[in-house]
This record gives sequence, structure tokens and C-alpha cells, in this order.
Amino acid sequence: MAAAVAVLLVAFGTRMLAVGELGVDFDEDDYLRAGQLYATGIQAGDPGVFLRENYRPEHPPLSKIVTGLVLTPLPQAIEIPDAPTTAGPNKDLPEPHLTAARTADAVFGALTAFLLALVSPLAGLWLALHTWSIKYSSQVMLEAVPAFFALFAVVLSTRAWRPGVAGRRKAAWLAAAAIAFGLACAGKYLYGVVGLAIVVDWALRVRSTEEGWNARLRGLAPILGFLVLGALAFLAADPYLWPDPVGRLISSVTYHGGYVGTDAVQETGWPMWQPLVWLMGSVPAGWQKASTFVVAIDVLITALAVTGLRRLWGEQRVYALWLLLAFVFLLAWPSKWPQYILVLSAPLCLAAGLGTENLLRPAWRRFLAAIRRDAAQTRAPTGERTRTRGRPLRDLRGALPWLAPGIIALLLLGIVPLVYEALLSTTDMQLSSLRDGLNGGILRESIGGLTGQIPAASFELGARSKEVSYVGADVLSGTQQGFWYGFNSTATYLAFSLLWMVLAVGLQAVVGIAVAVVMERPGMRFTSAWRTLFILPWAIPEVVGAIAWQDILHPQQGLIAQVMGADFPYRDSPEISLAVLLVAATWMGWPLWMLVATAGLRTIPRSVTEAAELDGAGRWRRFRSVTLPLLVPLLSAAFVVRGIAAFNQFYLFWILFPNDNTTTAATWSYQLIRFEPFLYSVSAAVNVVTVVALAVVVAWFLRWRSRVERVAFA
Amino acid sequence: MRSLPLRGQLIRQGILVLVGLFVIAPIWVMATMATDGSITGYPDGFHLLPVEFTLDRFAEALRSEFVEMGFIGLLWNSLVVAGSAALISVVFGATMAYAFARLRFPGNQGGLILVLLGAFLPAIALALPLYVLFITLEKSVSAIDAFGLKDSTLALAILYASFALPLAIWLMRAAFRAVPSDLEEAAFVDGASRFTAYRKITLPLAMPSILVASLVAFLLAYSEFALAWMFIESERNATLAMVLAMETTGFYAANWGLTAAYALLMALPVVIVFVILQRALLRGALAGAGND
Repeated sequence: MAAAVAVLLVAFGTRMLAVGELGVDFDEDDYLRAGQLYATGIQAGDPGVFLRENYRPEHPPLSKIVTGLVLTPLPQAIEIPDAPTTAGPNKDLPEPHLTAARTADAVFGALTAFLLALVSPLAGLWLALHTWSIKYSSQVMLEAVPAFFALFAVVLSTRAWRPGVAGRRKAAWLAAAAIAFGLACAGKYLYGVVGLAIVVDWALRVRSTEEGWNARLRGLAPILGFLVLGALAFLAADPYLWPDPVGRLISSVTYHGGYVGTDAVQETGWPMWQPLVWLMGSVPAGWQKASTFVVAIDVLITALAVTGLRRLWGEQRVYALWLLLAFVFLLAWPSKWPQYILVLSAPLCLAAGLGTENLLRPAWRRFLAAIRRDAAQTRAPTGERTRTRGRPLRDLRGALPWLAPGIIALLLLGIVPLVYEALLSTTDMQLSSLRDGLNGGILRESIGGLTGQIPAASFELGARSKEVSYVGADVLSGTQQGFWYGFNSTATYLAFSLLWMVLAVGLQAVVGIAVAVVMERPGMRFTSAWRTLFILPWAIPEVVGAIAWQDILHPQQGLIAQVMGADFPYRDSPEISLAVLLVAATWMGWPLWMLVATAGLRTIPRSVTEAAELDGAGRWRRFRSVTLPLLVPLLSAAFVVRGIAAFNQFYLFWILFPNDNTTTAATWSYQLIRFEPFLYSVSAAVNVVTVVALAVVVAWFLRWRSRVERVAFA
Repeated sequence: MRSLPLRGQLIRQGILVLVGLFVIAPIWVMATMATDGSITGYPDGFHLLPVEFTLDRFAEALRSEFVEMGFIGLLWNSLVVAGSAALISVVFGATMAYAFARLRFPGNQGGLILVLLGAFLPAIALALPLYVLFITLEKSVSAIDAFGLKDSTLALAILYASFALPLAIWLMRAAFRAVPSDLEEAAFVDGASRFTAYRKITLPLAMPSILVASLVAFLLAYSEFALAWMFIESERNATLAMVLAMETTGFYAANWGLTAAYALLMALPVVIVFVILQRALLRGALAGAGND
């Protein structure tokens, strides 16, 4: 509880800071106007205003009503003009009305973090610091109120399922959850996804506890009550619907179907996986003053959340379902505004909290063990220690001649360039300062800066200085947080690289393993002939393979375009670009997987699968539960090597030249030093971030693999 | 061992035929393009077989007025660069890989991760630092300046070795681990030193996998072009991949047939080596799979 109160204070602090610092965003004038209309009505003693008014009726009114209630005690200001949704931000909104309305949102935002901290204090802390959550719960947006009620609904529903809660008390908790769910929907339809999560969780619980169809159906019946009660709460909180419930609801909901086709949505050009881009970076620097957020570590939160997913599913399934359903919905829904992230930031931060616990727990245990061992050692005789002293040194001396050639080569060709890149990323070298940089300016500035002799300047895109200057972590943190670059956040490239790594390696591995399994069946004919054919794509140099695919795919002159008799403009669409690239990359990469999987399959003793067959396991089950778990650890080195290669894939992208959204970080890094405006230091920063990201991914994968190995050989 | 019933055999062969079509398709497209005399510029329709079969393109490529260097000169540069890159990475990496596989020393684990860190670097990250290194060397040593280090095949070989090295170490370490250590221990009993045991027993046994590692390094270097564009200025030092990529990344490539012929000729030597080494590749693949 004390921790939760601390989180509440932190969350309120971060949000109040943002309330003061954030500039006016696109929709704030709309929702402030909506609140103003209610406030005017109340001040005139006319409660009918709630039935009449719902400015921007495509969204239900609960958030707007909250804004209206906050504005009521304030003196009236000039009415904000009615502007189309596409209009730019209205810079002169009345004060203190804007600040008051924002503060109300901030209170709901802080309460959300408080609620989450009651579930897990670390999770609450992450939500308190999550910049997207801070931004959109500190502006006059519709997110803060429904986000609070959505989390409230889930928390209430988990109370109902605690052991020992039954009968009326259980029903009461669920009824409360239903009401909160209805209020969330009345804030914004999107947040209704938590209702779905609660219901699915419910169904899963019934399935695991009840036997037989009748009992299961009886267990599911209360869901109907939950939904009806939720709908009633929704209706109660949406007075605008009362005069004409069906008609107004339909026109409000169907608006969104038309809206996603409008130019405002289409023009963004964001890919289907844009929510991933938002999650892979903080609110881009440059959208607001640098002093708006205390820390911008959203990438870290997302990474921690990934490590906590497994525990989230095991311990807090309803939150895992919420995260999953909301994410799938965001991927599928055509408009990709960043404020939608708030629908899943609570379960995301809960996963991050569990992930943080996972990381910290072993360290904490080791610390405790170390204390105990120290205590034990002061009592025990110390003879054991002195005897082994000196052995590591002798080992090292023995190993040194073996290591020397490699160390020299690696130092010169790996470590020195890496250090150089890291140093370069602390400067602002660009085209104008190229000469100075190459003549030692990089070392002068970066070393001077890091030793504290040169103060850090701030990085300026398009500076014309002839001299390199030290900028500290400006460039590094900028590329990693996602500064706005062209059409999208810089996080695009990192997000795409990760997505690409998973999809490309996954597809290659699946095809390769499948073909190996098909061929390794005893009695198969012509296998060596097939194998000779199949290794061709691997043997063909990447540049030649890419050119071959270019012959097929070229937008105007390729075979597909000619067969269709029309252009094949895959470059215009991120999704088609991705699909096209995946086909080509699978073609190039799968033969290696076939070889590795074939070699691996041959090491698995036939007796193991035969034993499973005797136990009555079917073919698929034999493969899934016996062969695959034995095979996967053998493939782990291939996963690491191919994963790194895919993350850094470049030549294929260069030749096929896909959509800007489907560009790996490595390709972007090359473009940065090849084309205008020649941002050498930004390119270096991208490379440094790549190294760190890959190190984290590989470390995580190797941990996961060692667990798999233990299971497989236990 | 039970035999496969005919139906299963047919289904499986059918699957393999589909996969085979997928594998063949782009190669086929390229081959028809290279051998169809009716294509000038780019193809104007889909033809399963060449309309006018001709091998002139290959002859033209080999004679080549395409670039001054001629195909043979470019191929020679490519082979020299890729071969030396592979050689450098295997020679400098082998003993280190062995040490990581067999010896106990403090920092064994950490060192391996440090090596992997080198592999995490995208190739592009190595280009700029090495570029600066080379021109600094040129500026400070007049002999190197006269030789023109930056704009030379040697510079490319060093550059490519730099990103093949960590990968080679990682693959060779797995190869050494796959050799049973009992064999070495038997040699120790007979009085052999570690180096003798390494040279006489482990190295020969791991050779197929080391070959795979060097092939991987070779292939990386053989098909690299973008970094070479930064370093190489004079045409006599250009490689095949550079010219090919330059020719195709223009939005409207001039002569698709000739480009295809070039590309096929470029792939040919490597493909032949791979097909010959098939068995070693299969064995090496397992070592690469790292059963550690």
C-alpha cells in the first residue's frame, strides 16, 4: 500500500509536469469545446444539455462530461470554434480551462497507475514513467477516463476469482466489474476490449473447472448477466443516446468505418505494425519540450514486458488476454494514432513489472547467498582458498598463445571500430564537418567531452559548422527514443528490424525443418538429388539471388508486372513490401536450415520416436512432443547466427528497394552516410543501438534455450 | 526400419516437387533472360522458354565491353578479395576458436560473448572506422600512400575479414567442440603436446566444418558491394558484385539479358564448389548447429 501511494505520487508528478509543458495537440480543441458545451448548459441550469449535446458524436461522451464538470465552476470563456477533425492544433485555447481539463485527465492517469501498483508496485512505477501514457493522460484527450475504468474492471473481476470468494460476494465483484466495463465503453468504444478479455478468461476458467457440457453451460450463463449489466452501465453513462438509442449508437459506431478510409488516415502511410513502432520508442523528441518527461525509457519497458509475458500468462491470465486482444486489434485496425497505445499500456506495464522481478530475483538471491557465505566463511578454515590461488593465471598464460592471433585481429577489426563508432555517436559529425572529423576531430571532441573538458552542445539537424562538436548522449538517445524523421519515428527501423528478424528467421526455419523432416523418412527416394537442387539458393551469392528476384518483382519491368499487364507497385505498400521481401528471404535462407535440421535429425536416435509410437502417440504428436524438443536445442546456434544476419540484412533491401517503412536499421544506417544529409554520427548511433539491441535479444534467447534444453533432456 | 508405402512416397515427392519449383523459379527466370536473344533492354512478356535461344550473351560477357575491366578481370578481383578475406578470418580465428572450445581460462565465457559482439555489428558499422584508419595510415606513411591502401583490393580483403572473423570463430568453435576430446586425451597420454594434438588430430577432423566456415566467409565477401563502393575508386580494383549491383539498382536497368548472364557467371564457380562439397556441408552444418 505504501508502495502504491508512492507510485501515485510519482505518477501524478510526471503527469502534472507534462500538463504544464506539453504543447496543444490536434484533438484538444475538440474535446475542450465538447466540455465547454456541457459546462455552459449546467451553468444555465439546463440538464437537458446532456441529452442534446455530444460534440464529436463518434465518441461516447463520458470523458467529455468529466471535462464539462471540471469546467463548470470556472468563469465562461469564448466558445472554441467548431473545426474539422483534420484541422491543425488550435494554439490559443482559453486558460485556466485547458489546464483544469488536463489536470482532471492527469488525476485519472495517476489513479490508473495507483490501481496497477496495487497489483504490482513495479508495474505501477513503469506506468507512472511510460511517456505515451503520460502524454495522453495529461492532455484533453478521451483516453485517461476509459483507461482507468478498463483497468478497474479487470482488477474487480480478478477479485471475484480469488479462492474462497463464492456465491453473492463473487456475484457482487463481477457486477462491479461489469459496471466499470460499461463506463470504460462509455469513455471510448476501443476500451471495450477488456470486456472481451474478462469474458474469455471466464470461459477458460469454466472449461478447466467444470466437466460436461451442462455444467459448463451453467458456468457460462452469468456471462450474459455481465454483458447486460455492462450494457446498462454504458447506456446510463451515455445520456446522449437516451432520446434515440439505436439510431444514435449506430451512426456513432459506423462513423469509424468511414473514418479509416479518409485521407487523414491514409496519408500517414504507417504500416500495419505501426503500434509496434510506437512501443519501440518513446514519444518522439521534438514533439514537445525536452523538459516534459523526466525519463524516456519506453523501449526498456517494452523489452522488460517481453521477458515477463510468460509469467503474465501463468499468473495474471486476464491481463495477458487483454494485452493480446488489444494488440491484435491495434494491428488489424486501419488507423494507427499513437494515443491508442493507452488501451494496452496497463497490461504492458504489468508484464514489464513481472519481467523486472524475473531479472532482479536471481541477483537478489545471489546477494543474499553471498552474505550468508561470507558469514559462513569467517567461521570456516580458509585453507581451501589459498590452494587454488594462482591457477587462473596459469590457465590464462597457457591459453594466451592460442588466443593471441585472434585477439590481435579482433582488436584491430572488431573492437577498435566498435569503440570508434561509439565515440563518433557522441559527436554531431555531418557533411559540413566531414573534413574535420576525418582529420581527428572525432577523437578530439569525443574524448574531450567524455573527460569533461568540452561541454556538450546540442545536436542540430542541418547545422553547417565546419567543425565537429561533442553532443553527449543527444544523438544516441534521440535515435533510440525515436526522434521524428521524415514520415515516421526513428523507432520504425528498430521495430522493423526486430519484426523482420522474427518473421524471416521463423519462416526459413519452418520451411527448412519441414523439408528436412519430409526427406529424412526412411525409404524416401532421390533425396540426395533433391538436396543438391535445394542447396542452390544458399550457394548463389546474395547479390545474384536478389537480382533474380528483382527480375520477377520489378514494379514496371518485372515478370509479375508483365503477367498482370499492370504495374506491381510493391514499393508503395509496406505490407506488400514485407510479403515480397519475406518470399525472397525465405528462398535465400531456408536451404541452410534444411542442412542443419537434417544433420540434427540424424543425431536423434530412432529408438526415441519408436518408443513414443509404441506409447500410442500419433504422427503429429510424435513430432511435436519428441522430435521437435530434441531438435530445437541443436538449432540454437543457427538461430543466433541467422537471427543476427536477418536483423542486419541489407543487400536484399538495397537491391529490391522496398517501402521506407520496411527498411532495416542497417540499411538506414548505410543510407545515412550515402545520401543527403550525410548524418555520420546518427549512423554511428544507429549501429551502437543495434549492437545493444542484438546483445539483449541474444542473451534472452540463450536463457530461453537453456531452459528448453533442460526440459528436453530431463 | 519400415519401408514407406507408395502413397506416402508419392505425397512426399509431390511436396518436394513444389519446393523444387519454388527454388528453381527465380533461377529459371534469370536463365531464360540470359539466353533469350529476342530481349533487348528488358523482357516484354512472360516466356517459359527463351524465344530465340542464344548463348551469345555469355560470350559477350566473357569478352565484355560492358566495363573496361572485362568479366575475367572483375572475377579475378572478386576471387582474390573473397579468398583472402576467408583465409585471414580462418587463419586468425582458428586457434582462438580452439581455445574457446577446449581450454579453461578465466574470461572464456565473457570472451566468447565479446567475440559475438563483433558479429552483432552491422557490416556498415565497420566501414567508416576502417576508412578513417586507412586514410590516416596513408597520410602518415608515405610508402602506404604511394601504394594507395584505401583504394585497393587489400583494403577490401581486410574490411571483409573484419566482419567475417567473429562468425568464423563462432562456427569453428562449434566445429572443434564436435570433435570428441577423448582422441586428444589419448594423444596426451602418448606424450603429444597440445599443439601437436591440435595439428595432427583435432584440426584434420574438424576440417570439413572449418571449410564450411571459410565458405561462409568467402560468400559474404564475394557478394558484398555497398561498402566496396565507399573504398574503391579506380576501376581496375572493382569487383563483380560492385558492377552488378550498380547495373541493377538503377530504376531502369539497361540490359537485363547481359546482367543476367553476368550474374549467372558470377554464381557458377561458387555453385560448383558447393555441389562438390555437399557431404562436408551436411556434416559441417551439424557442427554449426553447435551441440554444446
